Amino acid sequence: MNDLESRLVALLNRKAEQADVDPIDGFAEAPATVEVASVIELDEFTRKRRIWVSLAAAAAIIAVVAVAAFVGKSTDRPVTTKPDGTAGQTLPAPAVPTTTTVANSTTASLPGAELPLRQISAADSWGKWAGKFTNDGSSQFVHRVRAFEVGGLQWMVLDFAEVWIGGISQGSMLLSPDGGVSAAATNPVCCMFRNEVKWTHFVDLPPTVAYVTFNGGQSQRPVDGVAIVPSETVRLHDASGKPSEVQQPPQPDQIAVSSTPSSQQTNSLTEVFGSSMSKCLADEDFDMYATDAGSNATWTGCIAQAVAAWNGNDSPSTESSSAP
Amino acid sequence: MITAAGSRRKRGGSQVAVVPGASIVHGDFATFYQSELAGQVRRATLLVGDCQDARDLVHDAFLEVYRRWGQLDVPGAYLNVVVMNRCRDRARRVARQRSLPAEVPVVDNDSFDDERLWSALQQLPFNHRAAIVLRFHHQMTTAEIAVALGSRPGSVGPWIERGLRQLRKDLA
Repeated sequence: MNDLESRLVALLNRKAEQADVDPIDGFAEAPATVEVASVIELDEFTRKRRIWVSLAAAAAIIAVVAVAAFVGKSTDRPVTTKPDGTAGQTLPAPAVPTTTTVANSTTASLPGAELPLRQISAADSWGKWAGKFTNDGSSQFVHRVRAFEVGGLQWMVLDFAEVWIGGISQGSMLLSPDGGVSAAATNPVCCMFRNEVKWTHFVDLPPTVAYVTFNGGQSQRPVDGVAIVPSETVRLHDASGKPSEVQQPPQPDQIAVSSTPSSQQTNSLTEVFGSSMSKCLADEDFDMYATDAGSNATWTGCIAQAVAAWNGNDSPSTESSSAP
Repeated sequence: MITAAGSRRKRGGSQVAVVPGASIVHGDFATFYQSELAGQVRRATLLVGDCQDARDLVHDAFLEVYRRWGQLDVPGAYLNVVVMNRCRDRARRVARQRSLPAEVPVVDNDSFDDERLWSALQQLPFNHRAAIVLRFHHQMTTAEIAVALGSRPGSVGPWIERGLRQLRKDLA
């Protein structure tokens, strides 16, 4: 064994020792009634046929895109048609939202009358979800279901605890009920994991979060208004269900919002909440935000940001010198 | 799409068998998880170069095993394959995203040499890197490496040779 190989052995051994990891509590004690995902077995012919169909579909899509790109330049803007059938004037392009920069170290807060927040009954508003997550054995994964109403929108907060599956670890998620439960079940949501923002989606309405799966961190367009905040900022309970670290519902004037259009949200969020605020997606009109555990942001801030984005960032704002 | 357990359906004229969801013997799986986790994370760390990513992909692999637990005769072997495939997928993704290699400052000490070697190892093509890791850390034979990587035994030797040659070149 030469010098390089000896160094390799030593290095690999050292790196392997550093990679020791403790098992994550909770995983192995999943409820015994969990239904595993079904496996669909296809015969060889069907598999080959699917491959050919996929290839044909891909070729068709490429052809359509090429044609669209070729003729697209002349159809960028809608053209009106006169009653006699002749072409009229070209309509202007859609207006681009103006941007507003939030000054460093300042936040904008909404008067209470404009953005009331009240706690509502999760069972009433989210009966289906709340039942899913709090009845049966899945309560060991989702310890608490809460619901809030902010600015006329209802949000559900799920507190996860000791859940590793799919990469969620002690996280909480906010789901907007807009569009109903089924929409939330099929649209990707964002979750925060070890200071990273990742993308995930519900494969099915799960009896537990065992079916929450990653898609490899690739960007997907989320359903509007869904946000994830770290458990450190929202956790209101301990493992026994006993309330702890109680965080009172915020007063309306404590809710920080930004009037900044979403294309500028990264900067404004960073300015408002600190450098650890992350923007979940680079999409210009994206409405989802998250913070990492080290941030001084609060879940109220996240809700408010999401609401502001949801409302088109045109919420009235007033200057305030207090950080959230 | 997850379907109701035990249901059967036809699709496109061909028979589609939907395996009923099976109840999981959690005690067994818990033992399996406890016994396999550390080793899998270590191996994945060496293959992907990052412990956190390794944890993620290993746990995702466990989820895959968990879903098929009742149908697997040798879950350990299945887990090995899944972890290896996920490491390979991640390596491909990283390779696509990598625009420029990280510039390493020149510092003359042993630990830095190790980091240079580690960095150079992570730059190797996945099969080269995996073959080196399996040979020099896991002491696997050529045939075992070939099985682990799903390749022909004749490919393993050249992969290791080329990998070592590239490492020497990078460290020169």
